[in-house]
Amino acid sequence: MSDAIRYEPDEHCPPGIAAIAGLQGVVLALAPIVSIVIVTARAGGQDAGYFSWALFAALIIAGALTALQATRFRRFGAGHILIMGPTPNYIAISVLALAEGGPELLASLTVVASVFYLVLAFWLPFLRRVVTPVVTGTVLMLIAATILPVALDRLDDIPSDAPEAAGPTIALVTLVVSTLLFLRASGVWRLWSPLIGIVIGSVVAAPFGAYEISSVADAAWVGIPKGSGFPGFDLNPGASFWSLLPAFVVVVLAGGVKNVSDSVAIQQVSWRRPRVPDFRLVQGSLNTNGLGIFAAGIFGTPPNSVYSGTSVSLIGFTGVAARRIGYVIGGTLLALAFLPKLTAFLLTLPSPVMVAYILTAIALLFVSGVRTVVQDGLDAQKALVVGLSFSLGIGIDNQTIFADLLGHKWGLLLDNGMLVGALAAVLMTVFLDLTSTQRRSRLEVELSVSSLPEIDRFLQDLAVRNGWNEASTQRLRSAGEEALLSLVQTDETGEEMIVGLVQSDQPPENHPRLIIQARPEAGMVEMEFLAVIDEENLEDRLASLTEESEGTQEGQLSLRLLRHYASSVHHQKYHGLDIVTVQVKATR
Amino acid sequence: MSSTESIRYETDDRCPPLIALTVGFQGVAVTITSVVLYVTITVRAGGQDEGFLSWAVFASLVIVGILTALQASKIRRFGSGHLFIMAVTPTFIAISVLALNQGGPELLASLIVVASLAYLVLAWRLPFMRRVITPAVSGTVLMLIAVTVLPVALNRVDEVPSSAPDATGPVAALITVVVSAGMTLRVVGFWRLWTPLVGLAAGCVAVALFGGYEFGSVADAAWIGVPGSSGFKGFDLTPGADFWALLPAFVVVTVVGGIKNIGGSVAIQQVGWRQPRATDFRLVQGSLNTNGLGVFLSGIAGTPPATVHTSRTVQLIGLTGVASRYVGYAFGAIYVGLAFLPKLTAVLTTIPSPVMGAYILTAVALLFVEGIRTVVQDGLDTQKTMVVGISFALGVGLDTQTIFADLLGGTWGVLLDNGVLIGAVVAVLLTVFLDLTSPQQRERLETELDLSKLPELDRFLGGLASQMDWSGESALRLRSAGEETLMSLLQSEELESADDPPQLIVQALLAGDAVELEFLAVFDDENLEDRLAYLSEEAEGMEEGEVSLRLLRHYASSVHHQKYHGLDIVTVNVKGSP
Repeated sequence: MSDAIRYEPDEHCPPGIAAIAGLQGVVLALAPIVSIVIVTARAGGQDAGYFSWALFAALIIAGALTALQATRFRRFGAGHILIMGPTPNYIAISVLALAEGGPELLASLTVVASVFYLVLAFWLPFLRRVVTPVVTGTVLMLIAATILPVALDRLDDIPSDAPEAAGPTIALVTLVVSTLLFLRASGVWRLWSPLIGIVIGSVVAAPFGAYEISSVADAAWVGIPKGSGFPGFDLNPGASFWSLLPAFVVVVLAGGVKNVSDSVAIQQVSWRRPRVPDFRLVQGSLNTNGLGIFAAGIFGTPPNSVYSGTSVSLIGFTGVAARRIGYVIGGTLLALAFLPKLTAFLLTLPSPVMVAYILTAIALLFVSGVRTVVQDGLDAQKALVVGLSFSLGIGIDNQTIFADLLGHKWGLLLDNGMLVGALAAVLMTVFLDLTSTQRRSRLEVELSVSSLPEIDRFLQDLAVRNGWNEASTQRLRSAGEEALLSLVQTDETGEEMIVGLVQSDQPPENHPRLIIQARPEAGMVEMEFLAVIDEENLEDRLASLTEESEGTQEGQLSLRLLRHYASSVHHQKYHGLDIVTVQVKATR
Repeated sequence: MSSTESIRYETDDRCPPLIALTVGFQGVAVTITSVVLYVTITVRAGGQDEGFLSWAVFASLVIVGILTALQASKIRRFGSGHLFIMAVTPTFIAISVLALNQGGPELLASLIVVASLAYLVLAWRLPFMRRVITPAVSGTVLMLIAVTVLPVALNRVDEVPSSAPDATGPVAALITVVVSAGMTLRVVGFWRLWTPLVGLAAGCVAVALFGGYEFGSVADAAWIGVPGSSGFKGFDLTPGADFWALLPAFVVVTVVGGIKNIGGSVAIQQVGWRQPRATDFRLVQGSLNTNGLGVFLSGIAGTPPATVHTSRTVQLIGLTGVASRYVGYAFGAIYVGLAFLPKLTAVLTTIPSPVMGAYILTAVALLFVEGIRTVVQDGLDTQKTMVVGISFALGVGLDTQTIFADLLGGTWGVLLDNGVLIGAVVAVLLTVFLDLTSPQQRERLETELDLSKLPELDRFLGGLASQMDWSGESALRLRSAGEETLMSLLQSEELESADDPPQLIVQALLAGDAVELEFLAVFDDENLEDRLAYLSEEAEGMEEGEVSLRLLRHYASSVHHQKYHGLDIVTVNVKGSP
């Protein structure tokens, strides 16, 4: 139980508190939004006109999406505070696209990749087996490792009359200050550490003659960028488009999978009492992210994602998780887009300072990949998938093996380390899944008590095939029975009621389908019960049982028994689909 | 307590000579290829001739053989007393190539000899080095080594005879990787041990089918003999700028290798017995000393260093059920014997470069994952995340740049542009910074290990509890835990026979709502952690003297006991509240 939460997402907090907490959120989000756009634009060799436009568009999109995330509008919105903005994940590929074909190519690639993102959101339940934490973690590490050499290329991007040592010195000071502050400062100071590093780095740059601030005076206080910045589209995709598209799709999908955990995390920290994640909200968040990437493509600015760390920190510091804060942050970011002087000021930041900042961001991205690959444990097989994919990616990225063999167009594509590494990880994961020695079994029945004998036969056969003894077989059959009875209960008159429809007082005329997928592992069977049920979450109900001191309500007996027979029970809700996963251990 | 029932011969068991020889041969078969390949790729990438390659392979085989036999024994402070295979590992490839390119075998020899001293210092000062070379530091360095070796491994993929088609190299490398990976992912049991060799064979067949395999040197090689003396290059006794520039990198990689070997030595002690035992850190130190000797001997011979090969050893014991140290002796003898068969080593050095590259890619992949595992082994909080991330990012970023070479010129520039060195130094500096600026308060008491010192200890712990504003109940728990630890340490028979009471140092680390107490004493043979574990197996009854152990476990949230030569450390964690 989190007593630190003063206002939950559903509560109305006073406007004054909403404004104060919202402004804190804006301050936290502004630096990454600006710095990522500026680094991408500069490293991609773009001019000030494009930067002004890209930042304007990024602020508008970030503001609109943050507000949308706070809502629940049809299938959009997470219903929680989720600050949005451009993230470092996309810097590497965005820079490549800008350098290869300018903003038009970036726009086209982002729009097409967003379609894949939306497909991911729709098919999330089924992609879990392929786009595993091992795959996404590997891709995150590869992105970081391949962009690092590029990130440092602009270290000597300083005025020609500045000393040669100016670039490394400015970057070093920025890095040292922000890192040491991050390591030792606590609370709000830690969140400000990157910005303080940037300020001190800029101050150091001034005596070297590497900081030119004159352009700020010329900029207007209020206005919109000139139309010259809007890039439009590349409607005739050439070799560059096709060679970069796979990398964009992989990175966008990896980002999507990461956003699932972001959305789950924000649900965990926003309530006083912990709740089981609602995957319909996760899908709403993913849909919003997909829309954001699509909009970023339309406007030719780097793609957006969720600032989960910032969002979680904001709630942690303020204790305010009311969704009204999301509206305040969104509105403020929209307003800031119309202040060109701010953009002009940010453009003056010296390149070495930005290099140090981006180095820190990529460093954290790499460790985020490390965390992701180990989150479900690293057995020998997963270790090989991670290691070999990463090694192939890094190894190939430094070579021109395929370019020499196949020529420039396809060779360039296959010599892309990120792409090769990601493909290797996916292929090995699929190989493991397809060649699994444990045979998967599947049963499709009506979600009704009358299906019980059929389910019982199915599970008994499964136990026999796997050489389980009588006691274990009985436990498996009982777990299956109780899982079914938990989903289908009867009222006083003996009428069947599907759990999610209990409150409607009307038993369904047509029973939904129930699909049972059983996956035997070593000494265990994992059963997935897939059904169309709404509103009530089985796992929440199981958790609530522990708080009861005495008495058993009718219908709860099945849940108690299920918990007794199964070693774990998980319930995930998606739009149009509920998945109950039950694990039963055995002795032979 | 779990047990390893599959062990047929424990470490101390005498196994029949035939079994020892058979298992020894099996171990040799699965390791000799990697030893020869790592030496070959280092020598070739370092631009050295065939004469030096023959010498380096010969010397490496002899050293690996002698050291594995020594690891199996316990001679003074050398040897782990367990079957512990030594081999040349990919860890040193990148920096060895750099040394060979900069100053030839003489420079490599000098650097390794000097670096081996760091290894011996590590073994000696191990308990204290662990505060600086944390898992975050060593894991980061392992990942950096992997990333910097990868280009070296793949640089030679297109190195095939000019008569072979262009696709020969990539296709052969791909086949090697696919076969090795596919088998490793799906093959279990006995065959798993052979997957790298099957992968190599498949790659070689592919190259042969393309007409790119050259057997000429095998026919020329003698069946029995030693390489000509031209291969041994001696030392660079007048170390110049290159030496000083590369030395820090060698020392860092050697020390990190040493830290990694500690984990290996602990793991080996777990798999060599039917009943798990608490780790004997004196054997760990013996293993480290032997490793250090191995690095030193490699330096003398001018070959890439040989260190322990934990995973192969664990696999061999797991698959054969034989952990007897006699296997180590057999393994060593076979290796030394094979060194005198030049035709065999010639076969291995003719393995085509693309196949070699693909093989090393797989090995480096596992090195990288080992780095990941090391980094996360103690958990990754926000600060460790920053240490790992920044060190790795700087290492990878700077490795491909010439920033310092442009600023400072050749020698020192090359040093500072070395990614492994920069990453390692940054990781160490950030760790030291965190340690020095830690808000956690340290307190220390130095006294004698004697019952009469109990009041002194009690006052010390009472003072700590007051400092942390703990409630009376929490303070009592802390004092009781201290008292019971002292009582447990005092029950040693060795203590009774000692003329003077040993020194007892109590170090307290005050952090949040907990106190970590470290009791350091000169105390031999009996391991407290073993005794505590033993207690959990007893159904009933209580021997005299065990009351303290039970009470200690009652008061403390965790108890750990580590034994080193001349030093025992008991770490007790006690939680409290105001």
